[in-house]
Amino acid sequence: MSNVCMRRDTGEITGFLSYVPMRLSVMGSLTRASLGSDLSIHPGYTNKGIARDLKRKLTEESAKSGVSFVYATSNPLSTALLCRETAIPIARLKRYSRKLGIYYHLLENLHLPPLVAKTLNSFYAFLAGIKYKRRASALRKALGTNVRSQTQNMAPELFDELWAYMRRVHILSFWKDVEFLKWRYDKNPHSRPLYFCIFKDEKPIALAVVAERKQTAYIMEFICRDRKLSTARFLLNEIERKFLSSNLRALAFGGTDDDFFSTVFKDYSRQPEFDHQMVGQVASDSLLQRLFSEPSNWTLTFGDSDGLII
Amino acid sequence: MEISKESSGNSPEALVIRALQDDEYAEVCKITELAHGVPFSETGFHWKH
Repeated sequence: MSNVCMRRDTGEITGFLSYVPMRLSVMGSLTRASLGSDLSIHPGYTNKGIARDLKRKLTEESAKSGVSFVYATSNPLSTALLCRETAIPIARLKRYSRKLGIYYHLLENLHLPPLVAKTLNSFYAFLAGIKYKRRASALRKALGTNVRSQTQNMAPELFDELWAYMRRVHILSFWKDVEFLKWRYDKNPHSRPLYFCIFKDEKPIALAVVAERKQTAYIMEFICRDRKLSTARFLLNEIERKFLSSNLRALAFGGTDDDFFSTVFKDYSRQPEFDHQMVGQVASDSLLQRLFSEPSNWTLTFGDSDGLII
Repeated sequence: MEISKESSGNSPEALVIRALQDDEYAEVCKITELAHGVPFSETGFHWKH
């Protein structure tokens, strides 16, 4: 749904705000939420309080339709605007990244021709691939028998089984069933997601969604049953192995989940992240009211942010 | 929802907030690009529209 603000006399549109119906898991129970998105004010009509009025209208309409939680992803400026009234910052994503291969190093620092850089990077990827393969074998062994990994281009139908379990492990997270994954990635005309699945005894125990944008592979979703570290390391190893020879610049992840992600991505460099601050307000729901303002209650990843459109 | 804002000349402009209509989509794309300086496709979950 979208609202516009327009001049009554000329019909000129002066501002715009859309909101996307989303679903939130509050300790495993489904709660309706609205994501405020695409807030835009015509440059000739800034500083008139139009954004505030559009947001107020969104909050009113959401409350009337039974939505318990209204939120937005914002940068520092819009955070200030959104928090001027009743919204508060809920959590900020942390960003982790590491360089992939040596292609860009050879190209930009040693100024080698692209074809030579590509060939040398392939050789590097081949050698590094041996190390990753050995590590995968050791990690798989640590997880027990009948563990396998699989990559695919569409949301895995079996994932609902893992989500049904994990939503009871998370305190607060946005609803991540197969329906969400299809909408967020498979139906996005600009996204070509790659799904990394780990199965044990043919049951899904981990899933990651990775998509490319501007020479970087972004890990958008990263879910491991029981937040088990050995599963997470196997999953991450499979992702890194896949992108070794891709000629991409980096692999990046953004998220917050108490200490889980910082432990999994401990070998990655951390950068300050300013554009993925979640702000929100609760319209109703007393349990959510008690939980939502504590950042450590949230499990969030890049996939929850409309600040990264892939 | 009717609101009133002062213009730079201090005369109040009557503004109204209402639902987006289908034929206004192109205009909204332009405003979004003007406001953010990037294509509309990079400002939100745009494929929802």
